[in-house]
Amino acid sequence: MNRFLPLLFFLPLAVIMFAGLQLNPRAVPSPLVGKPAPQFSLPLLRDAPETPPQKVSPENMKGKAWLLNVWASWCVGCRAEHALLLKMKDGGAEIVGLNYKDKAEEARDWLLQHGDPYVFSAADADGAAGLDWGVYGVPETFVVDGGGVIRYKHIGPLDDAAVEETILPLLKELQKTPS
Amino acid sequence: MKTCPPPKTPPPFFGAAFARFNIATDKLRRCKVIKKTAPFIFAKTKTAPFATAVLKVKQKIAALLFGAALCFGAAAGGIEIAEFDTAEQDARYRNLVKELRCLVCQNQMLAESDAELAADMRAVIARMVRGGAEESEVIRFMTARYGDFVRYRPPLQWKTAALWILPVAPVLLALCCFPLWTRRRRAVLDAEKLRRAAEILQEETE
Repeated sequence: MNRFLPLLFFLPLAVIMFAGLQLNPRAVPSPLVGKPAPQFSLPLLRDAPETPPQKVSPENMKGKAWLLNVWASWCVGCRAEHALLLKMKDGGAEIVGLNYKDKAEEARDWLLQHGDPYVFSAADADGAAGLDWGVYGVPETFVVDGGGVIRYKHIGPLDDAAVEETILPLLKELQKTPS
Repeated sequence: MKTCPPPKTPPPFFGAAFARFNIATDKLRRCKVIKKTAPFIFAKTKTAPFATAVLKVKQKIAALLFGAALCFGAAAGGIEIAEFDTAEQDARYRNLVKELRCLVCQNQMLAESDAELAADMRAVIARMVRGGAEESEVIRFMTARYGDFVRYRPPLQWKTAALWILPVAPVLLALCCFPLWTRRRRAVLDAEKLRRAAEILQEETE
């Protein structure tokens, strides 16, 4: 028996550590899931310099289930997930952009070049709204329900699996039951 | 996703100035060596003092460049300095940036992280501290946004219990088992054996 005693300690440890290897250390669970979405009132990212300035806030989306996608023109991951966002828009998803720490002209050019999947984009030039939303690695995507509660957060570029298996089904369900 | 900024390396400007400085001093040193070993070269030619003078000026310029590069480097790659009205606020800020973690470079404290987000978070903390916020208030503000992960010392919860208990568990286990272990050893010397031992001892002494 004594001979197997070290094994008794080693095996559980090995199991725990192996399980730990499967985790993504970058994915920090957000405390905001299940909580009301933080408010912001930010200037609209205008499609053209001539468009009159306007303030936008999550209130604009009240009563609808929507996605908040944090993006920036300097963000490589945003480019990677962009096609998926456009596809989701075509599928009827309402996506609001939070243009995080970006220059308005560069952001505008980026959207002109790659296509605009957003209902509108809010310009968060100093990152204050991003901080309120607990953003730490752009891109990030939040699912918000009709009552303005955050239901899900995806950190990093979206991928097919996340969109098809989690985000779209959740969004569809939230759209069906307006709260 | 934004990546961590690379570790602080001197900007190219810094390196160039440093190299120039090295070359300048090296040349000068070589001149001095020549001066020592063969003073006649310097004594008898007219260009030599001029050459050393030029080198001296060059050295001064290099030193200036070096200093400027140091300042520039500090401004470009360093961590901003936060100033406070009272020493107490300063201490509170310093403590907070050590207690909180940068979410981008996950194993760096805010105090030492070069990431943009860390700078933003430091700015928010500095503003709150200046506004008279308590340490617990700032920590609550940050955990509300980034979760307990932002703290280097997570609170004791069911989820984190293992984190707190595991390090002390072996010690506790040893403390518990120690009396059991010693009792078992004592139990071996029961009355019967003690009597026999006494007998043997007696036999030997007889």
